[in-house]
Amino acid sequence: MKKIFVWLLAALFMTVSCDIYPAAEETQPSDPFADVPEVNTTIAQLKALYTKPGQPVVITDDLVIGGQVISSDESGNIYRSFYIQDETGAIEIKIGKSSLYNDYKLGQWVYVKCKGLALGQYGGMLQIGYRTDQPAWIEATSSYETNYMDVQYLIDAHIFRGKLDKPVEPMLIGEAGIKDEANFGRYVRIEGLTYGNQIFVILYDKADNSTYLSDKTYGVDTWAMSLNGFKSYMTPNGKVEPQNAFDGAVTKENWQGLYDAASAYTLSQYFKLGKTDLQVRTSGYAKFADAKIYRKILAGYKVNLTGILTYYNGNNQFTLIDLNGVEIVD
Amino acid sequence: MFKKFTLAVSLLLMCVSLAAQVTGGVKGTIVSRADRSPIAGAELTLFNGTDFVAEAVSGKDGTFFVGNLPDGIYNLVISSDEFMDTQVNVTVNDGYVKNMFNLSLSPRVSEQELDMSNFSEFDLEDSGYSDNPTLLFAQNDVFTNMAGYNFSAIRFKTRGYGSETQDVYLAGVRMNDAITDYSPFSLWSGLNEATRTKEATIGLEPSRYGFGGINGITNIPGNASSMRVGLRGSVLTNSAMYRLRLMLSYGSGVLDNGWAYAFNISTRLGGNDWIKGVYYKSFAYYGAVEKNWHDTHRLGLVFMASPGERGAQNSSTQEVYDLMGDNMYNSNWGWYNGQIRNARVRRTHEPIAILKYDFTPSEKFNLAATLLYRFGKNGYTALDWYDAADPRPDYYRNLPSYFYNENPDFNRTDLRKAAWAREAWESNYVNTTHINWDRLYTVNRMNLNEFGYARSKYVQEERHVDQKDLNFALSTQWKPKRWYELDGGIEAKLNRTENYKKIADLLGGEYFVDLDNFAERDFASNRARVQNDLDYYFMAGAARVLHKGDKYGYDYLAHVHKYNVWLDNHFKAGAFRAHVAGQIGNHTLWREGLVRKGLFAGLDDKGNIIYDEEGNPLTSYDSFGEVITSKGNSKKAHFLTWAVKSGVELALGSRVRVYGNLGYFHDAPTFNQSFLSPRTRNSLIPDLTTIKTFSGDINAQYSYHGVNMRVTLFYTNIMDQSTMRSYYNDLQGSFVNAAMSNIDEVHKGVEFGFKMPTPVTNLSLQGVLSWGEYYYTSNPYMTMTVDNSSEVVVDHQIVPYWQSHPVFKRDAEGTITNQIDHYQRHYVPSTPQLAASLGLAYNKNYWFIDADVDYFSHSYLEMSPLSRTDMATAGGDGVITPVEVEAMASQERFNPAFLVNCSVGKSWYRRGHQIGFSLQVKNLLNNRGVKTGGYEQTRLVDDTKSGERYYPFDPKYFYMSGINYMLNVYFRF
Repeated sequence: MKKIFVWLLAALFMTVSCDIYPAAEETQPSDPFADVPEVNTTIAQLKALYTKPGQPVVITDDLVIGGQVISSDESGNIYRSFYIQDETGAIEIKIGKSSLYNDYKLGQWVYVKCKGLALGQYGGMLQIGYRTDQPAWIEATSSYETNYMDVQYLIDAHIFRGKLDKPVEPMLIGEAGIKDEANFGRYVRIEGLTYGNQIFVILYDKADNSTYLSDKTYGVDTWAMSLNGFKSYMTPNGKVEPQNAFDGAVTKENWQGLYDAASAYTLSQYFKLGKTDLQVRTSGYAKFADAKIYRKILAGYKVNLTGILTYYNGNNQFTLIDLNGVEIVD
Repeated sequence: MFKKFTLAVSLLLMCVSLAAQVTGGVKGTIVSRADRSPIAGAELTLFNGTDFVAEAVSGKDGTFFVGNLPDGIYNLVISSDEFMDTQVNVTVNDGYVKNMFNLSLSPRVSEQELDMSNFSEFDLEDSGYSDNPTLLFAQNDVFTNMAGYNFSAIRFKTRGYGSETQDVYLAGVRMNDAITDYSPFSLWSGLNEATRTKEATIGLEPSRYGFGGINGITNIPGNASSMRVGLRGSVLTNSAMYRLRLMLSYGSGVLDNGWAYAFNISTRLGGNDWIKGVYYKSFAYYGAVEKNWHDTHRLGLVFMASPGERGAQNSSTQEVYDLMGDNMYNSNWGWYNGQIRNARVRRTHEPIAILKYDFTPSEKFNLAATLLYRFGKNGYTALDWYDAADPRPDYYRNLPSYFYNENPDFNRTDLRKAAWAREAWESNYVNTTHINWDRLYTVNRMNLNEFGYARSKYVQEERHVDQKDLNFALSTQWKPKRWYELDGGIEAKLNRTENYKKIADLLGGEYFVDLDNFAERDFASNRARVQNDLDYYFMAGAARVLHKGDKYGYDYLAHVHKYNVWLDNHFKAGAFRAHVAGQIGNHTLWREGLVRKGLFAGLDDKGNIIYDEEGNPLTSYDSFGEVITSKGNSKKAHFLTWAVKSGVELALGSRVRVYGNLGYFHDAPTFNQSFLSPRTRNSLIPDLTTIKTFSGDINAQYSYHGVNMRVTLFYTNIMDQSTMRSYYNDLQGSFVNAAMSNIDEVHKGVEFGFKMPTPVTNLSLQGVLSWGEYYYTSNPYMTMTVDNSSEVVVDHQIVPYWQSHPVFKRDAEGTITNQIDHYQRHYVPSTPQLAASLGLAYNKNYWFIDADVDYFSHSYLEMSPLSRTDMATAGGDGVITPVEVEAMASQERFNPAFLVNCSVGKSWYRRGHQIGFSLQVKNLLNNRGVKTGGYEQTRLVDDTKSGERYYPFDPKYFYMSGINYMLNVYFRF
């Protein structure tokens, strides 16, 4: 009897002592700044591969570009992507994840293994992202030339983070520089702009009927409109009932439909440099969407803007990274 | 050292014989058949036919004496904790005291271990659901003896009732949680010895400890003298929960000087073979003293707790389980410094202090009064993040199904991305399948502010539910007449529970900021509205900077006051017994917010509207025009509760007992069912009312020559229940609260249990069956709110497909038509409505071998109310179609399951010492496809291509472990 007991006890302790606590297994390394691929292509060279508008280019060679991160999605004005820049130019990388600024810091070196990715354009701006073509037996549904990557494994296979570095200094550009395609996507500073007293935004109701607000400001003095910002614009006297809003652009007739479909609206505030219009386009999801444009700017004071120079179907546009990019010249 | 005590015989006589001149009696010594050692504390009950005659308890040396017996033939039933019940016939004649000499009992060799720690903690807090299995304890019932043990693995709920219906008393005080009413077994898990002695009733049966509800009362005396005498120890290992349990206990029994003392300590440590990340680092302690004065006054003091921590298990969708090839996959953990680290850890230390006084002046009257205080900390960690990616590995956007779905309406057509996602899961690329702690630390460390301090984006929070629970209970039994007994009691509970969260770990960062993460998106430029603590913001000009241990997010007190008075009249006449009982009470509950949230600022302390810095009012109003407020006291919800109960019983000869019970109850809803969004505001659920329950049962019991049987028919109708489920929604980045009211359900069915000898000596056959229908009978109302929005998402709308949904006719081609074929009922979920077990038990020479086969079926998935609204079935185009109704409203039924279990054990006895072991192997067939629970996500796929209809999100499931063992080696000195 004793023997059995001793044997049992021994067996028990054998089992137990093996792992009172869960055993450690080998951890796979996840050092974000490990080996980075060697750059063999400039951003300008990569962009040059795109020659026929409407035809995205799926990269089949082992091309590697590298550059520093020049944008941040912290303020929410840029969303699911960021821009990198080298000496020759800049390009937007369509990652597809939110809160990217946590992983890709301003100034950090980022390398892109382009093989397998697609170069495409959106309104004339070149972007790199995932290919949108589908296997032959699947209907292609994307209306974009290049897609967000979305899948972490896919991102990790193509986007490599290098060392942290000082943020890039903005490139000072003038009227000509605004129109120079080589500057599209670059981190730039434009000095001496004046307010253009003009906005552009399309409002929709639930049936997708659109109402254009353009050529004037309609009393909109914010950079964009969040959902709540839009609702409070639609109810200037605080009453939720059909009424004229936006300087008469919205009437008692279409008010209800627009209010019911209320959402955040991205809009353009126009600025001028010489004879060139620059649309400062801000997302309704930006944290500064409802921030009022400084009174002095509305009153005609000159303003310097720092941010990403963009372009959309013939319009010169500008994306603020945050409100630190707005500076009044007294 | 505990060998010989004096020959004191403790007699708890309730002899009611009034016959004059009776001098006869019976005496003897109770000994163990194993080693002839005396058995102290054995309970002896004497019957004449089925009439109870007298009761006695054996003394330290095993001796007993029952006097004052008229001549006759008696049936003496002897029961003792560790021994099998024994019956002997005694004839008393000519007024002599009959000496039975040594009456030997056979040891009960299987030491079954059943406590709350047999259940892994399911991580349901972010889903809004709860899953508390009921534990069955009634020891002398043939059904519960087997069902309690064999059905625990499937998380069986007796008669389909939730754990909140099971009244659990400790030292005469109802211990069900004041906030949720859930059964409180986890408070003393690991104290198996201290809580081993239990007295339990089933269903509506009366109890002397309290009025009880529809699901029985279990009372654990927990006092020093109820602990088994002697020094005991055990070493236990098992493969499904934790590696090792060590336990030591000692009970002195009542010493000559009237003192008794006892202690119990234990530890449970380690992980298991089936669920990674689930581990225990738990301890338990118990100490008790008691003083007995002349068997009239007894004063006892107890202090106990089960401090420790344990990792929780999370549920996932079937897609994730299939990707992992493992239904036991747990998404809660990741590798950290080469160790498994669980993000969801329960850390508790909730001591209980008990002062109990018993007064037994005569056989006809006794009274017990208890003062009990429960306090301490109960924390549950979780990841929290601010403006950063969702860190959960099985977040739905990380799965292949997010990129490709065969149904083109989902507009998920990217096969290539789906393949990348699949590959990442199947190859566990950079720990895709686990929490990536390294990334969280890296993100935090890299997020430097302008002064170079790292602001954490990810933190581990600890949600606290810290109770201060003061209870007083008084119960009394009075037997003025032979045919009449009056039981009664008073219960009072004052509970104040602080709910808050604090920073448990900054995960490599140096500070965190107390802001409402996602309110920030809606109120981009309104700093005041995104504050979790508006008063602090106004005072300091900025949100609070948080360090480890700081409270943040929310902080409120739940107040619950309960008072009950109950009376129970027992009558008996011959073979007939009856009782009639009533209870009346007052329950009050309210919320007291300790911080002012920017979104629900309410009025200031002087009753004025609060404005932000720009002069905009922050005060907001609900649809009744009342101020929505987060700070201060809410309205007090008062409930007058009452209940009546009655039962009759008829003994047909000595073998058969037929009895029935009826009850009607008006119970108050619990605190967690009463508030729309308790974390953020004082608003009560609309049309909050008492829960009405009607219940009845009819039972027959048979007991003769080793054959035991019970059959029960039961019917219960529960009306006007309310629930509040909070679940995390990633799009809102916050908790969404779905409050439902007016939920009615019916539970009806049959319970059957038997045990009988077989022609083979020492081999018996036993079986149980629980077969019922537990279903919903109303369409409740739903109100939906979001913690970080003042908008009411769904305002008191009916859920038309809750109790049932129409099934439509198919035409000749099998296409669905508009004609309704029939209505399909919806069922109370997460328990098999059909459960059966059949087994053989073999006992010889202190060996035992048990083997049984279990069958479970008709278990259902917990439903989401959202999918069953008109809004969800209408979809984007607002048109409700038969296809949509069937797709959104039907309820999943789990596959039936067969299980085989087996156990073997042996005890050795020598000179009053005992050593033994038991080995149980469960799920011998290694069936790994048995769902024990799960829930539908309260979430819809609404961005469809056609824009016409919505789809439900995939449900999440919990599965049962495959083959697992438990080995227990124990000794007694």
